[in-house]
Amino acid sequence: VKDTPKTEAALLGRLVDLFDEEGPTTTDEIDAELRAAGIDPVELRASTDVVVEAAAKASPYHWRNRAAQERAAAEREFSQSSVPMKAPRNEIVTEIRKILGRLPALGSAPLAQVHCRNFEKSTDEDLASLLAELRFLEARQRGPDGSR
Amino acid sequence: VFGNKGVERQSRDREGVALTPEIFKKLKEADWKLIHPALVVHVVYRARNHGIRSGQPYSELIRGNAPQDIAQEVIKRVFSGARPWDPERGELLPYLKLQADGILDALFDSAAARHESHSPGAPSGGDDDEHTSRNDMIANAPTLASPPEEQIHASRVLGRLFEATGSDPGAQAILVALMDGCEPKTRFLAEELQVSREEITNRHKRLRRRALAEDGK
Repeated sequence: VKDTPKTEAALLGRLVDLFDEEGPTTTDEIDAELRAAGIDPVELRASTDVVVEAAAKASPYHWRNRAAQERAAAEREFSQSSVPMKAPRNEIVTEIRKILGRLPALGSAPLAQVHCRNFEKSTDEDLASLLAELRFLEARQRGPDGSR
Repeated sequence: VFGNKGVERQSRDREGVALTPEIFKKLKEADWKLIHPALVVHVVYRARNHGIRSGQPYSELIRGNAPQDIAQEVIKRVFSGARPWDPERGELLPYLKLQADGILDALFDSAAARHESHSPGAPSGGDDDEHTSRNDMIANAPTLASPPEEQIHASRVLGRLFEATGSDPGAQAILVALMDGCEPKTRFLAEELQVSREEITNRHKRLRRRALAEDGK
């Protein structure tokens, strides 16, 4: 059963629906359509890199934004999960040495570099903070299931 | 070392599609030199078509937004994850066009509302002889379902199109087929008129050029 348009506006609407179905395909048609709207096709194509790069830079997945977000998330997680150990100084130092023995790469962490050279010169509080950070980093390296 | 869970949560949309590093990489590597102009021209094309339908000037329809701005907004949305593209569901350009259509439809609705609220009443329908050569089927069509202004505009454009296509029976056959109730799809018209789809496309392009010329868009 054919559905005939009841009004001229409906008929015109169907005609425009037909136009909408398929736009310009050739470069000539595209350029003509753009020019008719007052857009210079050459300038438009020249702007593409700027437009796309700006969108990418604003994306949460752009490396800069990602690094900042990851850092913020890690800091949040560290502050929520890491409580400096209240224990005798020698136990803290022993625990630090154990972790560094298991994962020597953690010795390059900024706090470890400062304090591990000379534990004697570090305060109890600094050592407790270092242990908390090393425990956090060790847990991150292990992953949620405890595997490395 | 650190995962992207937070980022992915932010990017998740209502349908559960999320921007991922892999999709971001694909977006970055897409052929934007082709996609960007194609998206802008889609916006222009649809806005000018809607001008034929509504009688409103193209610039009024998109309310001061340049078509490039609309295309840029769409590109920003897919990169931000606000409207994440899923490569498994289809190619990028059709998806971007769909997103642009969403913005355009909202602008068209807004333009229609503004137009109605500012309209002092039905405008002049033009010269009486505009309608003289119109096909009888059109002249006899009831006109109750649309606002008078819209009807007058449609009547004027169609009347001129019928006149203008007097020397182009192929293009006029499309108008008649649509009047007879054929679906406004290239494939149905090709079947109805027993010609190739390419021929239908060429005919409707001629019709569109005439419609734009008639309305000065």
